Amino acid sequence: MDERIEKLTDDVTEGLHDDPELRLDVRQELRAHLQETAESLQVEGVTDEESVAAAITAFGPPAEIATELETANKRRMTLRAYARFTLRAVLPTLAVILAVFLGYGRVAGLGGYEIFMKGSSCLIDVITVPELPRIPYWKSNGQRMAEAKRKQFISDMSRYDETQPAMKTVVEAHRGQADFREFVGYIAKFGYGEEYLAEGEAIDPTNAAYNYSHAEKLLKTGISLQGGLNKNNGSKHKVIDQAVLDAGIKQYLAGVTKPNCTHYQQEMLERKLAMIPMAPDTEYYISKMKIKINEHRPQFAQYRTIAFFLAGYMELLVAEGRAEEGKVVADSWPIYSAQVFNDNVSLYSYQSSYTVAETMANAAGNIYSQLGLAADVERNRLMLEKVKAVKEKYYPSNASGIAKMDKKWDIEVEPYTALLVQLASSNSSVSPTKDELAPSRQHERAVATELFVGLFCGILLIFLLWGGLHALFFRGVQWRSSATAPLVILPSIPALLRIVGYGVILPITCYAIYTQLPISGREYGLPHIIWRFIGELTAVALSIIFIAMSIAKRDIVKRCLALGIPVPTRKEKWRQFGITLLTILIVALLWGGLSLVINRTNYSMATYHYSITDVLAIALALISLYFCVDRKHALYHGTIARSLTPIYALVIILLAGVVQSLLIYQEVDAIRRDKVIFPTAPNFTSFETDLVVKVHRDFLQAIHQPTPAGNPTPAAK
Amino acid sequence: MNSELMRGATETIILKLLHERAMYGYEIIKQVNERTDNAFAWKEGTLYPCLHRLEGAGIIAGEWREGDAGKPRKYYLLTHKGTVLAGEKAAEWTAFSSAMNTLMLQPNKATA
Repeated sequence: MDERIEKLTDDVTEGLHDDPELRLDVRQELRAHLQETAESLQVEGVTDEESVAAAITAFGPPAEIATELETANKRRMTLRAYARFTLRAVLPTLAVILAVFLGYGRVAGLGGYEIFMKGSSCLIDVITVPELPRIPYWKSNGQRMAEAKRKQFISDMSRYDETQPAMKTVVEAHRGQADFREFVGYIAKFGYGEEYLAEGEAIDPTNAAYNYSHAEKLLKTGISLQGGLNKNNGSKHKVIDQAVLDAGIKQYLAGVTKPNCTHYQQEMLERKLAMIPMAPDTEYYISKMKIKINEHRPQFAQYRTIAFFLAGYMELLVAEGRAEEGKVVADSWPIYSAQVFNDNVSLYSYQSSYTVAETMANAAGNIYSQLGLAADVERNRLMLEKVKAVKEKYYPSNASGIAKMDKKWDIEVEPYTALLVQLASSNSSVSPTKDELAPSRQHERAVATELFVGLFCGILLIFLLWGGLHALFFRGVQWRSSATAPLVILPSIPALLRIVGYGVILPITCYAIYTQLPISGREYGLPHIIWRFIGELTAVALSIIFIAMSIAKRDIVKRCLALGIPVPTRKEKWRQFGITLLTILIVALLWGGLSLVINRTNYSMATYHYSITDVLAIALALISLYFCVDRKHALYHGTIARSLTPIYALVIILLAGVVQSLLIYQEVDAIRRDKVIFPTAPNFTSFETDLVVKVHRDFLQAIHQPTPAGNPTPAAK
Repeated sequence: MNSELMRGATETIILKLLHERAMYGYEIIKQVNERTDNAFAWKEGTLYPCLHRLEGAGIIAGEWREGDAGKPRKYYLLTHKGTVLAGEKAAEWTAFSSAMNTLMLQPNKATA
């Protein structure tokens, strides 16, 4: 390219400096014009040198043309500047905020069932259901649950205030105290014991001893449940220091003579008693329901919470020597646990009934003992034994594989499927067909969609940040001082169709076919492996991103060629890749070598400390990477990075903002109606009906309760 | 030729040529020079601001296409708005030129 032509086009387009793409476009147009004029003169026999000079003269006065070009393009430049600002600044910022906000729950819950169930719950309480306690979304799940619990109790008290103004002053005096015991139990499960016990002292100093003794029990249960995990898997859950706890209990027992917990529980208890054995009081039910939406639990699980509360109350009365007051609660447990099952006849609610029965029967036994009612103690014991026998029959705790599933009973659906299959083999001659397991497959699809959206947004977010850094980096290494990498605004409708067709529909179709094949591990009866599932979805997400972005990139490259931006050839790209790889390798070798010679470091990650050689090596790596950058094609790399970044951002916004919000709405709605995970009776398969009818009958017999009239006995499909 | 006179005519010329077919900048100038035998003596560079102004107003649309020997060229074509305007301009010019001709070429009947 002739330097004079370059200079002229550069000077003439100076006024378009703020719009790099437009400037390159105009430059390329003028360059082509000047070259063609010169070439046509050369055909007539003019020398190269003279032809260029003549073309430039014929072109006209540069200053005047520059001004006219600027004026002619002014309006267009203003509009394009707004579009660029939106693409470069507004979209990526919005995308980052959305992705971080929505993705937080997933990151916080990674490693447990939370990845399934709690991904979006951080939004449910802050956006979708305004009446719920508002817990800052950046709190971890354990903290959030604990706080939600506490706020729920406080809110219960507020409702109490509304209905019982006369008691207001009494309740006011104890606000924030009564809930602490339950609250401690809750947080103990999540390993936040120490901090909250300390907080408990501040909240409720008079009851600290009682709180401690209750917490101790719960913590011990927690520790024994999680002990195996802690020993084998490293400390996944925090184990409370027993010595510290013992010391605390002693200290407070010395200072406090008698626990004082008579306030509030009494009143709350009456309300709860009032709802036994009837359906839960609507207002209370709704408030419980709301808090439970936050936890993604079905309605029958709420009975368990109430049962724990009632059992705790009975323990309290025994401790205070007021057992006779608790007899009414003790007598009611069979009715109450039957109610759980009658309310929603399914295997899940059976599990709740069983828990309710066991929890309350044990506490009831204590009440009867203290009152010296030997006959009642015996009756209670026998009934509990029968309940346990029913459980053993249908849900044997010693059967291999099943005990392990115990903890996951109401959390994961795939183990439930597996359990059904196993139950079928031992208790029923009927085996479910693949179609009959449809609810779990439906749930899998719902989970897959949500998980996929999350993963996709996460991966795109990394690309977005990487693209942004790339664009910033190449801003510093400009190809020519006058040329800034443009942002190519893509794409045309055919390009969009190509991107969606090849990039989105094709990989999803392939994955859908794969899930139907036996190699996908979805043959029924196999428990689902979450990490495998995540792996599959990550692969699909990456395929979509790579295919779609390659197609988009091809269009950007076309535009680069039209704008006269030098595009590296395939050979040059590989060469650059090789140089970068080699540089990294050399730096790594140097780093290792230096560290060995200077530090004589033992490379164990557990004992490793950063040293001066590390700092040097990182500096060396950064400097080398800077120098091995493809400067010749900096404009090209800058253009690609700048142009792809808004596309990443747009996809994140669409997925995170629209799809995810829609999913959250659907999820809340489905949980409200307990439909997705827990099919209602009319939706049971014949296999489920068969099984659940037997469990229901046996359980009610065990606790001497009649099958109620109008009982929603599941009907076969 | 007088530049004031040229300025008003440039748009009409561009619309007329593009009404025939899509052309790129150099081609427009070549066509004008050939057909008028270099009567206008255009400063070639001034064509482009005019093209860009028309493009900005949505009268014509630019489109990069592969030209001869694989060189990319920016072709301009009339939009719908441009086609309508080209017709109007042509009619306007016919009326104007015939009036001018009448005025300039015929003897003054009033004094005759």
